[in-house]
Amino acid sequence: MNVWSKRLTALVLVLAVWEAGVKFSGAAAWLYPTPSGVVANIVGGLQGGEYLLALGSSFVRITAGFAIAAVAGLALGLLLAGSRTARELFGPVAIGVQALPSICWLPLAVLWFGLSERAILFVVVMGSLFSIALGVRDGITQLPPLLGRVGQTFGLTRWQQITRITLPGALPAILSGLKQGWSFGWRSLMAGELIYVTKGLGKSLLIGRELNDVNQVCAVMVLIVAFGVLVDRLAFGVIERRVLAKRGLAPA
Amino acid sequence: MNVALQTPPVALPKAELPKLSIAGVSKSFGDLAAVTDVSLDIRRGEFLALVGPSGCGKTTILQMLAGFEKPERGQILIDGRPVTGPGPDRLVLFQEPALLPWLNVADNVGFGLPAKPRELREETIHLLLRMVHLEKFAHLMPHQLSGGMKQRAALARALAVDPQVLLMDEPFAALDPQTREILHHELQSLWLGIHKTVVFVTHSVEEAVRLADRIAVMATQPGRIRRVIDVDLPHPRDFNSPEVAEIRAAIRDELREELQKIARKEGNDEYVF
Repeated sequence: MNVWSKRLTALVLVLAVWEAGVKFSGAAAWLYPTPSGVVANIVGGLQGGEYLLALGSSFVRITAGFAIAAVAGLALGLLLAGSRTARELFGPVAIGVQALPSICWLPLAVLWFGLSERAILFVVVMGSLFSIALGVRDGITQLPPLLGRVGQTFGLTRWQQITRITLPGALPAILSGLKQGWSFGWRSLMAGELIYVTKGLGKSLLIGRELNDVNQVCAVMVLIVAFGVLVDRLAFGVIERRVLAKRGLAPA
Repeated sequence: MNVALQTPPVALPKAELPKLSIAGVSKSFGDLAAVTDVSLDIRRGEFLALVGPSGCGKTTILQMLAGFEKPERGQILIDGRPVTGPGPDRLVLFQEPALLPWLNVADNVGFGLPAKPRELREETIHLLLRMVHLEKFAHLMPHQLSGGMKQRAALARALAVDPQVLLMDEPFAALDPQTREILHHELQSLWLGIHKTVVFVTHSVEEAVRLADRIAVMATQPGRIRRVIDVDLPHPRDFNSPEVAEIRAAIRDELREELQKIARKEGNDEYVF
């Protein structure tokens, strides 16, 4: 029995016991979700289009926020790795800011940008920017110095050193920084959508609570996890594995 | 007997400018004097080996020739002009092959070549791969190669930019004896074909006698050149010939004194060389 059939069997067993437990114990249906109820809610929501709309608007936000964070994080990471002064001045700040849960930026964002898309974009950017910057910085500073010397002996200019040695050399660490940044950005977005109500999966979650529809609450949670895992495994995972396998750092 | 033993610096006819000049160079790292007042001229097209025990500053000299380190006193000259930094006229071959792990063998070999014209680039890469017997492995990644193959690829990458000088820092030290033997042979026939100026750092007396036209034997504490020995023997060299034996013995004698000196400082009575 391989690991996937084991997992599947265990899952089916747990869900069956859960379903039976809720059905036959007389527990309040508006407090305790059932697997069948959650599945029905997901299917209904997808067919009705509400969840597709919510997923779509969350997707647009995370994509825009992540794109801004990736560009800014790459620039900040290069600056931190390349300049000692920048490292001494901003290094501790970057680590300190990363320790702040990004949702704590929301009150500030609302003061600055009002109840607008820009406020939520700001929270997403702040959530992922520093993970990306630190990933880029670490990838570059951990590069073997010998590779830099190869560039020097071949007479590369400063710019060529960056594009032909530093960035390709640091690519695996940059990718894992991007992956972590994306996942932090996704969490920030969900938190933001919960507090500052507008379209999106976060809002669907909140509506579930307001309607006392425990199945909807759980259904949206499942969707949030599913989308997060999908992007993490499919988009980042595949690229990362390919890059590492090419360099002999992971099995192909 | 065609073995001439000289003391440095070697006087050259004025008409022939040396390719590289090390002129009264000193360098220290903190309190540690790495090399002190070293002078040596390296002739155009010659294969010079720097031999010595670890800590004699032979790698420091190579780093200064390469332009990675600057001398504290004295000057490094190439064609009579001071060396200001690293550059492709003095290409360095490191002890580790230092291939770029994200490029395949062909792209590593072509690293120093211009991207265009494409046909010329590919033709050059192909030629070089044939020269180092890697043409069948052009599309493999570096991690799929053996140690000897990696070092051959690194050599091809260096030769691609047609450097005037090759600086080799114990490039075969990490290889097994058989592979080293093969690479000695290959380097020899390559060098006989192109006659580049080569400075080769090694701690192996055999390696130096096998490959070099001249051998600078270095001393420790402070690092300096003890003696320069001409190896005026045809290639390939017969290791059982009396001439080779004589040169090896001469180098060993020089080095034995050095090792005894180290041993005395470290307080060991016996130091077997």
